Order: sequence, then C-alpha cells, then structure tokens
Amino acid sequence: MKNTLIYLLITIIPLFGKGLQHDDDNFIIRDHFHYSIKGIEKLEFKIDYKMGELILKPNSNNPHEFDGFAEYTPHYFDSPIVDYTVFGKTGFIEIRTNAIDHDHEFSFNWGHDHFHNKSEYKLPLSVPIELELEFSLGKTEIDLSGLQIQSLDIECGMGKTTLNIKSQNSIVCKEINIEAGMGEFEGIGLSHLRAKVVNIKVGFGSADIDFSGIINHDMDIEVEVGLGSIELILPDNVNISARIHDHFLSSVDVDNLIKKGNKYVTKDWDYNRPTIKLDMSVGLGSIDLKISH
Amino acid sequence: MKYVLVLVLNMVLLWSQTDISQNIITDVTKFFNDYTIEAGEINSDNIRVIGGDLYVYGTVDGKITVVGGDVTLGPTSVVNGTIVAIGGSVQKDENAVIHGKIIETNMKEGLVYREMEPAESINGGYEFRIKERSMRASESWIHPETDFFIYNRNEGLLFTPLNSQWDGDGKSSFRLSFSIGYRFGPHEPAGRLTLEKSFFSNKNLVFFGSAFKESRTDDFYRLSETENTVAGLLGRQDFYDRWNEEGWSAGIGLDLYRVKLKLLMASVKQDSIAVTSNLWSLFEKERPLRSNPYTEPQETIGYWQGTVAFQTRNYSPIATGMALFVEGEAYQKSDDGSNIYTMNSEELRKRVFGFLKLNWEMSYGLVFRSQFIAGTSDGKLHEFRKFGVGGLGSVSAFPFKYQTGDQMVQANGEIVFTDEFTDAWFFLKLFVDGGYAWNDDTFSFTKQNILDFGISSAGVGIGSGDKDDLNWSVNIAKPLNGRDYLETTIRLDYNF
Repeated sequence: MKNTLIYLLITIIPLFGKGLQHDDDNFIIRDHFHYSIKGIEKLEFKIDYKMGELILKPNSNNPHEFDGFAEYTPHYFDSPIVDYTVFGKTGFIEIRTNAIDHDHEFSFNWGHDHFHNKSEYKLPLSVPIELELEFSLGKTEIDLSGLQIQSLDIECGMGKTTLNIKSQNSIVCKEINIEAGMGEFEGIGLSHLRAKVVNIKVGFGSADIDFSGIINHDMDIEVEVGLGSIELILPDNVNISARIHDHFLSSVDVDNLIKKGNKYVTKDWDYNRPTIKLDMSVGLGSIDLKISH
Repeated sequence: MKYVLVLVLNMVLLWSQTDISQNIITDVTKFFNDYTIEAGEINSDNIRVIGGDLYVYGTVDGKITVVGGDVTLGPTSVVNGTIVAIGGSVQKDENAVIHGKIIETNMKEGLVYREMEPAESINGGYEFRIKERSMRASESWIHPETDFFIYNRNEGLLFTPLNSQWDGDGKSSFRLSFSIGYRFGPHEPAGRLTLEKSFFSNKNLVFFGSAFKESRTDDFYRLSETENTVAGLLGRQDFYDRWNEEGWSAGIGLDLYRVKLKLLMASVKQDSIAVTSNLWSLFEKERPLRSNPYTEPQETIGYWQGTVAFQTRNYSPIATGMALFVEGEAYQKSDDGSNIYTMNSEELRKRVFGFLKLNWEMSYGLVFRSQFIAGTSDGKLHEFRKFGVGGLGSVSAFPFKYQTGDQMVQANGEIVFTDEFTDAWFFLKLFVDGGYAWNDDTFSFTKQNILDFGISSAGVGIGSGDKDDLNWSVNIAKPLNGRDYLETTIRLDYNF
C-alpha cells in the first residue's frame, strides 16, 4: 500500500504544478482587423475559436465592411489568423485562434488565472453569408440581427454560447445545424432566420432553443439528445407533428400537444397553416417541448 | 480607403498632441536618421522619427512616433509612455517592460494596427472563466457537509460545528474542505480534511486526498442519517452498525451530470466504537441497545473502492425515474513488514453492493415504487461487513439483520396513493418486502432457496407530506411466514 501511495503521489503531484510565470503574462496585444467586402455575391464566413470570449455581431454602421479586434495574452496565443480571399463572386473569411502549445505546462490550468483571449468581429450586412462557427471552450455571444444568413452551422464544445436574432432574415436560410457538445447553448429568435431544415444535436450539454414568433413556411426539425437536455419552444401559429423516440431512461415533457398514435400533434390542426415536422430522439437525456403563446 | 484616411487623421491627432502640463517636454523631429535611447537614459520628449529606425534601451516616458521605420525594444527598455509605429514593425525583447502603450499600424487591409499594453489596463476581467457555474460545481460531492448533530448508540452525540469549504469563491480549481466535530459518547474528536483539485469549468474531473477519523457503516441505504438521529433521540433506536476508521484516502472522481464515478484507495485503522450504555432518549428510556457485531480491534487495512451512481433527471421518490448505485471494494490487512500481502493474497476480501430504484407514475397521483438490492462477496467477509436483511429499510416486521450472510438479495415494492389521488391531506401506501441473506462464496441461488429461507412481509401505511419532503407516515406490517405479529413503525421518510 505504501508503494502504491508513493506511486500515486509521483503521478499526481506534477498535475498540481502551477507552471512557470512569464513576463509575457503581464501585457496584452490587441490586433485590429478590417476588410472591405465589395464586389461579391456571397460570403462564406468560417471561424474556429479554441478558447476565450467571442462576440459576433452585425456591422450596422458600415454594412460593406468587416471589422474586428482580437485581444490576447501573447504568451498563450499568437496573433489570430484572419484571412479574406475572393474567388469569383464568393468571398471567404476564415478566422482561427492560434493557441501556443506549452508542452511543459499542464494546460488545464488555462481556465483560471493565466490567459486572456477576447475577440469581437462585426459582419457585413450587404451580402448573403454562410456561417460555419466552431467554438471549443469559452463564452460566445452571437447576434445575427440584420444579417443575410444563407446557412448557419454552429458547433459548440464546452462553455456557453448565446445566439440572438432580433429581426427577420431578408433571405431564406437553407439550413441550420447546431451541435452542443458538453456546454450550454441558448438560441433566441431563431424563427427570424426563416430556415426550412434544422438539425440539432446535444451530447452531454444543454440547449435552450426558442423558435417562437411568426413562421410562414413548413419546417423540418431533427433533434438528437444523448446525455444532455434540450428545451425547445415552438410558436403556436403553426401545425406541429412530433415523433419522439425515447425509452424509460429518458425524460420527455410535451406541453399542449396531444398524442395521436406514435406522434404528438397540435390539438386544432389547421391545413391553412404551415407545418413543423419534428423528429426527436433521446438517450439518457431529456427533452422539454413547449409551445409559446 | 475611408478607413485608412480616418486612421491617418487619428495618427495626425496623436502626433499633434503635446503635454502642456510639464514645460520641460519638448518636440523633436528626426528625418531619415535612426534614433537611439541608451540604457539608463530617460526620455520624456515627444519625438517623431521619419524614415529612420528607433532603438530603445532606456526609458520612454513621452511619446515617440516612428513613420516608415522599425522599432526595437532592447532587454533594458521600459516604456511608460506611448510608441506609435506607422508602416514599420515592433521587435520586443522578452525582458522589455511595458507600462505604457505601443501601437503598430500597417496601411493595408487585414491587420490594420496592433496595440500592446499592460494587462491591467483591460476593461473588465483579466481572467477568463465561466461565471455561472452549476450547483454541482459549487458543492463538493467528494466531501459532503456533515450533519450538525448526529446521534447514535456508538458515538452518542456527534456535534460537528465546523463545516467549511474554501475554493476562492469558485474561482480556484482547488478546494479545501474540513469537518471537525466531537463525539460526546467516547469523548473524542472526529472529522475529515479533504483537498480536491478539479478540472473543467464544472469541476467534472476531481483528484482528491482526505485524512479522516470517522465512523463508517454499510447500512446507509436503509434510512437517512437524519431519520436515524431522530429515532435515537425519540426512541433510543439505532439502525446502523458502525465502526471507526482513521487514516487517509486518495482517488479520482468523475462527474458526468447524472452519472458519478469515484475510485479511491485508502489505508485505515479499523476499530469498533463501544456502545454508549447511557444513551438518552425522550421516550423508551429503558429500551436495550443492540450490541456491535464483532470487529477485529486495531486492524490496519488497505482498500480500493469504486462507486458508480446514476439518477434520471429530477429524480424524485414519487415521480417516474430511476436511480442506480453500485459500490465495489477489495480490502485486506496492510503489510506490516512480517506478512507481505498482495492483491492476490488469501487475505484479500471482495465485497460488492448495489441497488436499483425504479419509480413509475402509473396514472394521476398513483405511483408504483420498487427497489432491488443485491450484495455479493467472495465468501470471506468479516462479521461486521456481512450483508443483513430484516428490519427498517429492509424487510419490515422482522428484527434488524434477522439474516446475515456473504450474499444477499432484497426486493421492495409499494404503491403510493398520493394526496393528489386521495384529494385529501393524506396519502396511503401498500407495500411488500422480501429478502434473503446466505453464506456462500458465490451469488448463485434458486427460487426454491428464496421460498424456503427468504423472509417477506406486507403492510399498509398512511402519512402526510409533499412530493419531495415527506413529513411523516405510520406503517403497519405483518410477516408473511404465518406468524401472528403486527409491527407499527413511524417513518419520517419514504420506506426506501
């Protein structure tokens, strides 16, 4: 037992090490970026944000421009890659955080004392945008109000992501894909995107997704929940037909729908209204389906 | 282009500013010449270098603007003022000290300019962390808070006034917890000190180490410690067999929302705690106290213990849901130098215990509750570690641990007619219990064994409470072996 204890201590103690203090920790760099977005018909915007705080919002004052800044501790991050290229009539903006790998330090310590990484990017309003967003660890606030969203793909790892859309998308969004891994995702005003197909996957985390508002078109929503939980709010101005695949280990709460065969459907079905078809499956997690009033 | 113009205007404004608060500051403009601030030199002037490079080895207190040249900050340089580099780059030695600000601009799209400044100058929090942590992360499940008062036949009154946890108000990944109390029965202190190091924002992964002197029981599943304390105070009863453990443990915990896993190793000195003969109670002052099962005195043992626990979301005793708990332990005497014990030695004893609770809200206000318990070992358990069936939290209307053995099975079922169903202040319940404990080195048993040797009982109950906080209930139970005996029990919790 003594030998085992010594071995255990030898294994664990290095994990408790705080790591070396660096002079580079004492100052930060703030990089400012700017691109003029003109002469294109579509913008593909892709971001891979490893960790830190991120804000994405519309560039309301300069609708033809992309602006932003990245503020970071140089010991832990290189300057982010913010590239803009144009091929034909399509523009591509690609943003990547560049974390520095310190092999000699235990990187789990990052969550607490040492690093700072905050970015804010403003997207142009003048062109349709296909968004592909990937966040690993941190806090992300996304405001897509006023932007022309052609498709939206969000993948959140850990941390918290908030998506807010306050005004109607001027174009139809072809598809929304949301994947909440181990973190929290909150989406408000998603009905404004006018999406026809929505795919939501929740792993260990939680997702609160609000589609309340006016929906004027048919919509297919597919939801997969593993060990996590989802609260999905749908509007009451549509017909709803929900098929839920669950078992005795999962928790399913459905409000204001009636069970008809193996489906939950709207009480007063009206063929003049658009229909939302839901296909939801849940493992050990929970689904909470609500209808807004 | 508009953006560049604005930028240039900003630069011109920056350039034209002159600090008039100190008369000694002067403006200097250098054309096509390099400019050097030597080590030890303190520069408080406003300097413009056009077409040349700037080298800094001393201290910059003023503002230096470099157009079309590079800036080099040497190892002895200190920047208290501002350096603006337009169209050039800034090279900084790692020992250079920046208290002021460095702005590096490029007249092109993309990275248009860069600022460098002390970390303290950032508005808002310097450190990044998730501010809204879950409750799970703010409370320790490795070192749960001990009840303020615990009352039982071994410890008498265990008073634990000091229960503290420190983790920098949730900002630190370390947590130090301690509970220190005093046993008024044997007149000795008891407590636990735990250090945890967690990883991830919700503290999902925890390494921990504890030093402790505490009582331990295998009967925790029968009833809560609080209800056992009330039974002691009111009726001079104790439904736990306890022993003392003094030593240390270390391990790892994994918290995956509804699933928790814990693996620990421990080295402890085990001993019995003598029964306190003068246990005070409000009623039943003369009730004889149950003696301890035999415990080998002053035995130092080492053990490995693994625990898995799972609950469905918002688990509640009277709502549809499931809870699972499994704990496995391998223990043996510690190596004392003369006898070397290994994990393969004859001394090693293995014990596995688990329960499954399944609740089903069959219809409005009507809940079917069930519990299945199994215990198994390799047939070598010490007397005080054997499984027992019978008594409160096990099979009603039978004495406490009526049967003991190296193996056990137990099943409990009840239908609760909640107050929503009765539409009155009370609920009703019908319950049935069954169990069987036997000595063997394998878990195998037949239906005939259960019929021949198992014990069972059935009963009814009435009580009042709400969904998650039962106030009280009265059970009347009868054994199903033909004995003409009725047992009345007052419970302050659900039967299981």
